[in-house]
Amino acid sequence: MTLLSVDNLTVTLKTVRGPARAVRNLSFDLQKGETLGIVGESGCGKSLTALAIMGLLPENGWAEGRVSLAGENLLDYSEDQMCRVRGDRIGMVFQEPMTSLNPLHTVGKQIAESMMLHRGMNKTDARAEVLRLLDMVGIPEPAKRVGSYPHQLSGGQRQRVMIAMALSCGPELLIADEPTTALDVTIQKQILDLIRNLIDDLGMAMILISHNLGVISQNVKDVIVMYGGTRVESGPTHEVFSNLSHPYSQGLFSAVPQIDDTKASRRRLTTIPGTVPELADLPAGCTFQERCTFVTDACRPTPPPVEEVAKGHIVACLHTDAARAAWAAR
Amino acid sequence: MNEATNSTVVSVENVHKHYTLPRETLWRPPAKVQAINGVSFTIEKGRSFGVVGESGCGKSTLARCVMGLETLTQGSVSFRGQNIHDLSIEQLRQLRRHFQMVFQDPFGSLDPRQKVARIVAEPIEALENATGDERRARVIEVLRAVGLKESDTDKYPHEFSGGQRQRIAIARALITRPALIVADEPVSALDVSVQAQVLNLLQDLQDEFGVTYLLISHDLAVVKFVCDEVAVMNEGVFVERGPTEEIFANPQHDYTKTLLNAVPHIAG
Amino acid sequence: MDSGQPSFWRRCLAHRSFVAGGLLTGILVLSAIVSLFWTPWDPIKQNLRERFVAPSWEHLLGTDQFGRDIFSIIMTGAQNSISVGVVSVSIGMAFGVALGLWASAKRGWTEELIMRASDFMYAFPAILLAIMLVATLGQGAINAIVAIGIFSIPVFARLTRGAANAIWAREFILAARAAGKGKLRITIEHVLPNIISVLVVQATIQFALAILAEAALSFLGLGAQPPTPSWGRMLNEARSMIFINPWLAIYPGAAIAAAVLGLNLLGDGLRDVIDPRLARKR
Repeated sequence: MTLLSVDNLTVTLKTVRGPARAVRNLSFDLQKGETLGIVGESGCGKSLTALAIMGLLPENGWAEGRVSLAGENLLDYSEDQMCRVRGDRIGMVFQEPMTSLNPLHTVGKQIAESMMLHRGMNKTDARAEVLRLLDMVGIPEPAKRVGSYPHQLSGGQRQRVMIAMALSCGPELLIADEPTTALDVTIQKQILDLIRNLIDDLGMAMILISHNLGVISQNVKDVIVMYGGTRVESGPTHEVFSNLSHPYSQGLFSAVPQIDDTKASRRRLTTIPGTVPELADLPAGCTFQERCTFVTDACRPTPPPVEEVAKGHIVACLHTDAARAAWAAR
Repeated sequence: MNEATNSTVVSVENVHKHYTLPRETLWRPPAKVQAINGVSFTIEKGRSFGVVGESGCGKSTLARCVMGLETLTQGSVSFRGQNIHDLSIEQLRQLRRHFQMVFQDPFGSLDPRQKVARIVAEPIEALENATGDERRARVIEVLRAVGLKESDTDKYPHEFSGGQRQRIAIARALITRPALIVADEPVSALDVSVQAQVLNLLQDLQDEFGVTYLLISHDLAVVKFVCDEVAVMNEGVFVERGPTEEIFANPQHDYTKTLLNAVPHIAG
Repeated sequence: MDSGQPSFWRRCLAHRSFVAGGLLTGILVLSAIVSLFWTPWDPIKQNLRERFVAPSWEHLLGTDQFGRDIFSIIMTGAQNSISVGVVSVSIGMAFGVALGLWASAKRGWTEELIMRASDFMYAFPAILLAIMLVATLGQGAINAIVAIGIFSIPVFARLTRGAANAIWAREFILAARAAGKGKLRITIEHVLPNIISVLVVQATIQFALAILAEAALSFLGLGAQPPTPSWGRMLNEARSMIFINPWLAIYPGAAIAAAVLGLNLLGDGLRDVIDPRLARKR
């Protein structure tokens, strides 16, 4: 059953240089209990997509389109209605646990807040539930930790607290925006394993946002690659990563030094020439045209058509065949 | 023990570095942080030595100790045979033209109030007597080497992207033609595709100028790509050290194995 | 990529506090400058036949108990206020900033000593300190200026040292040290330019405080001596006249208030423009 259905979502930001389309006509569906990854570099619009779903866009931004959670369009909701959704039906985990937690309140209080707000629990019940949650996210000695302040915990522990907060009301959907980027690699693994286990156990759906291809590849069932606010490629993770078909995805993959690369360590990384264009200056046609090796005149005037190259594997490019051939030959 | 040969650029011997934290109460002595607990290694000319580890392992402190920006609790750091802590402040200052540093934060390591020309020229301004014209010529030369343009000399840091700022930082480190460049997480703050450009640049510069690198990173893949030799650091000591291919193919120490296992691979 | 922000001056002009403050301060400065060359009437000359004249086109604010045109006195009084402000803030900044920079660069005992000395001076109520100094040095505008200047020094010393400490911790300072720059050069070339904006804002605030302090000193008879026009002394002279013509007190009072308000608004506006993070609306 489709839990979340995003239809032609467009997020525009008002900047000093005029309106900037940070997300352009993004559409995807998420089934109950399934995981979706959104991967891209900074400025591609992935975080704004999450914020648009949560109704947390900054003051100078607005969203158009449709974001349906179990049939209801969240973009039509008033602030009050969205407050009831946030925390209760959709939980969110942010990148920087230090700044996402209030340094002046104990972690126990912060976790309990959500429950007391949405479930109307009293303090005693909430405390018991907090202890259970802390245990569930793997914090040792929860009874001792409940009264700790964020600065007394390590980065990994703070992120676990954030996860506990996000899950406290048993939401149907968890959105994790770069949850492990600020953490050490060993802690990252622990946190990602934790998140995966929890959503399996609780039957939640998840949207995982990251710029790290490895993280995405190992933790989500489907993936969307974003560039310049648009989806350039999407589909089942394994299928997409085995057969990268969009020039940008291919470029991204080639640019990352691989740890299990058995070739000599001194070969050059293939880089994508140029830089990400300003959001206010995005071209009318394909957003990647200025940096693409396969670009032709046909790419410039209108956005590229969407093509299905394999079951569920969608690419937005005019030159998919050439790109796929080049990739297979490398 | 390390054998310093003629081509040894840096020799670090049994370095310890402890910090005292500010007192928490009057009654107890202040806590001590043992950042480095006995580290020794040498780097030969033209090679790249990588130090990899997680946050708090002491690698950034090690970088600063090698650069002589910190005093040592014990041990010695020798640059081309000279113990840098035996030198007077002035002698050390003069020696600095031969070893320079690139920092992690491309936003913080450039003075926001100075133009690029001045930022990049800083090492020669401080250490050499070059005329204004000579300085400008060298600034332009080194900016070109890192892929920037002459017209960039009159701009301020905020006019550049993260990757470009890091190139400016590299240009600054390069301008005195140092024998050694210490790079502390040079690409961690950059986007993936920009990272690739800067990593390629580092390799090109080594090929062109014969620079020796000490590269600090938490990212194993980056270290594997750039470095000939790598040391894995944990809690102030090297738990394992050796040629990069070896370490990554056959890790011996448990911590190294944990670290390698934790890196998410791209399946497919 | 550029910062995408309108230029500094555009942002200033768009900020209400800055514009309002700027206008008031501008009027203050204009009065002082114009009064150097011309006032409607001679502010010093007495004309006992024209005492307590009501406001009219000839005498915009009327005349005082000696027949002097109040408007002219107010205008000329601005000279005194401005000169006090400029000189005392200059003294405060010259010594205070230097001490603060030195303390921040040296740290350790030097810093402790300078900061404790500043705290010591700062602990005295400013006016009391100024009175003490003037009592020692003697009355008069110059001594008042020096006294006010001296009590500004610890303010700038503390502010500079705090702001400079924050800059020393930043990475580009480490880069400068790694490049071989000595502390003195780093202080002048890197630290000072990065704290100037904070100092400028404080300077406008100190200016306002200096005007108030001078008015207080003059009120007590310790500042500019007659016949030099001074708003503070006008207030004192108006005390005995208050039941005859309260306006004699209101005009100088309003002038002082307007000057202080203008400078504070200007300082607020500057601070918001320079550090927009503080000004963001919820």
